[in-house]
Amino acid sequence: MNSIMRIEVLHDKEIILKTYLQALHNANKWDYFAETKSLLLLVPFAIESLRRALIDAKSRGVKPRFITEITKDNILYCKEAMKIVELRHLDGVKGNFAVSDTEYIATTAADTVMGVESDSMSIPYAIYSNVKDDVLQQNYVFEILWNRAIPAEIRIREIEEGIILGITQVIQVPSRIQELFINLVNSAREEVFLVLPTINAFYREERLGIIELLKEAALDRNIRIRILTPTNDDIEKKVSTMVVLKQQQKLDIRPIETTTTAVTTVTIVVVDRKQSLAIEKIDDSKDNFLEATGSATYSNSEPTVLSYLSIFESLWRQTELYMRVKEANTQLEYANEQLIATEKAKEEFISMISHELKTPLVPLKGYAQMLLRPKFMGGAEVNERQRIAIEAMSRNIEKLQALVDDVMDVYKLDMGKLKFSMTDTDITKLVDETISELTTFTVQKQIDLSADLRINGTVFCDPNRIEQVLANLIKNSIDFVPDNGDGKIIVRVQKENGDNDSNMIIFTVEDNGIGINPEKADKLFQKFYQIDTGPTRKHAGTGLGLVICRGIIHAHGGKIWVDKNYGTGAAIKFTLPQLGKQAEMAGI
Amino acid sequence: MRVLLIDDNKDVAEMVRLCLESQENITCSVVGDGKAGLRAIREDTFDVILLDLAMPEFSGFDIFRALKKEDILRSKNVLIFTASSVTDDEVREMLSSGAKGVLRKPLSIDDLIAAVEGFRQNGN
Repeated sequence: MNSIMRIEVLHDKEIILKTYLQALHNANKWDYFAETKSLLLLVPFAIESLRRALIDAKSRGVKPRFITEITKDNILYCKEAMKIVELRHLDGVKGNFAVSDTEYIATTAADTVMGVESDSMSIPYAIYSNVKDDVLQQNYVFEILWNRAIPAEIRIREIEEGIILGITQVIQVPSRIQELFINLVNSAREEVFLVLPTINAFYREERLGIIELLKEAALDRNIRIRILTPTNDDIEKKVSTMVVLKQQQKLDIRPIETTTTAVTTVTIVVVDRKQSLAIEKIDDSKDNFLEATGSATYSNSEPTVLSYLSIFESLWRQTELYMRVKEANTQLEYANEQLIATEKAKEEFISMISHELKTPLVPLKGYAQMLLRPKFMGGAEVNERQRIAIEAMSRNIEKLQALVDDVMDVYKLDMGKLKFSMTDTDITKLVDETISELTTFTVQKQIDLSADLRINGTVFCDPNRIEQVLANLIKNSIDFVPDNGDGKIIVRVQKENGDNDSNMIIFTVEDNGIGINPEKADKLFQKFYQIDTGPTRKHAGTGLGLVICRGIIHAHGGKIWVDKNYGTGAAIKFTLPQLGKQAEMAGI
Repeated sequence: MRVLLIDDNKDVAEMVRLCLESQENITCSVVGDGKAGLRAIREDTFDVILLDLAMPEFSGFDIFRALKKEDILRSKNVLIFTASSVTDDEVREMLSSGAKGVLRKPLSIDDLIAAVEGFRQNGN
């Protein structure tokens, strides 16, 4: 070990190599920083003595560390070197130095050290030092470089997998950012993606000429341009002038909502998926790019560029989604209009059918009535036969009219077009009016029609329709009870289960007629079903009455059924929610 | 009293005319299309107007709307005379707009006569 402190300039190749080997031999640690050229020469270990010295040092426990610039040209040599030394990569390595724990050698031309002839005209020389402070300083410098260098394995993999290791740097000079921005756009070969955070940003970039540059790039160089920007009417107008470019899928500008994006303060430009520039603005109100811009982050490092790319693409997809939602909305609106038109057509159809079926009945009914009254016939009286014929016509006209009314009701119920005028209706009044409307029939047949009301107050319903239901049920009973004076019909109204808190009211129409066969009870509510069919059928009715009753009661939120347990005679019951359908649904 | 019937169905119109004119002092004019009907209402005075709704081209609804717009509906005794299905709400609306009544066809001649006679003024 050389204990004499010295700093020396060495000129002789032999001496340089000898000094180098001696230092390596003395070393407890060995760090080497070398530019590509020298490593290329070093690694094949053309100099056997150097290779042996390194292996020897390793066997002493020294862990040699090398830093160089690994390129695809020297990758094989680097792999060789890695078998002996720990190798790291640093961009742009220039110069050579080796430093141990006690000594330091630096050369300008590595070939000198290696003793290999160079075509360089430089005079070979090296600086040697074992001055403690010098060595410490160089140790410190190496340590800094080592920490900035990346492991050779990573660098080699990047080269082998075609990843270009890039840099990421922050630029704080607006003029430099502006220059870089323009250069980036001009350098594009395939595509440029641009995210503008605000409407003002659009105008600033436009003033800067970026938008024009992008248009030219799309037109002249066939570069694919995508821009995301908040828009106003003016910008949309400008965008619409570029529609030809859009059709050729060269330039696409899509609107983004300023509020929906998390990167609203940053202008992002990604070029060819290889370079990115994220520009932060400090004052969006400024018209001038230089005044509005704060700092920017430039990167050609793949992970960074890809991050920006993914931000762009997710925003882009978001606009696609937004456009699709918008389109779906338009379609829904159209479908809705169609539906409304269909509903309207249905209503018009119902109205038309009703008109067409009823109109022929008008003169039939009128004339049939007039024929029987001389007053309308210029005093002419009809004879008995004519009277019988005309009365039969009249009766059948009435039947036909009832049938048309019922058919129309069923039809409307089926189409969901039966309209209800709901109101709070006095229960007593409702029942009394229904009964009094029917007294002509009951008196005629000597039937005792009465009401048994266990509650009073109101029920929320369409009074005309509920009256129709009650009248229908009573008329059915009138048809089936005896007409010898024993006939009895009772309309009962009470709370469901006798429970005063219940919202449901039960209406019952019961009689002492021939009753309903329990097996046929359910069929009663089917269209055109009549228990009593065939030639023996003596009861009138359209066969639609109970179908309509059921439709009306269901629409009110109630139920209708035949009470099968009723003794002699028949009982049909229906319920209505006292406070209406909604209240019943809400469980009130 | 003078009645105007606007109805495109000739059989219906003739029946109604015969029925009404069998009453004391009633004359009934019949107009078979909407445009002529509206003209008749504007140019002449009638004690009662029976207005059918469903008519081709210019319907009773159109007449109704025109009268409403011209603000002369309330000053006329217009009875809607229809075989179309008209909902209770529609009836209410027509009454509140100024129609004096709604007659649903087919109806008995007694009801028809009663509805028209209701507008007979004293001494007429």
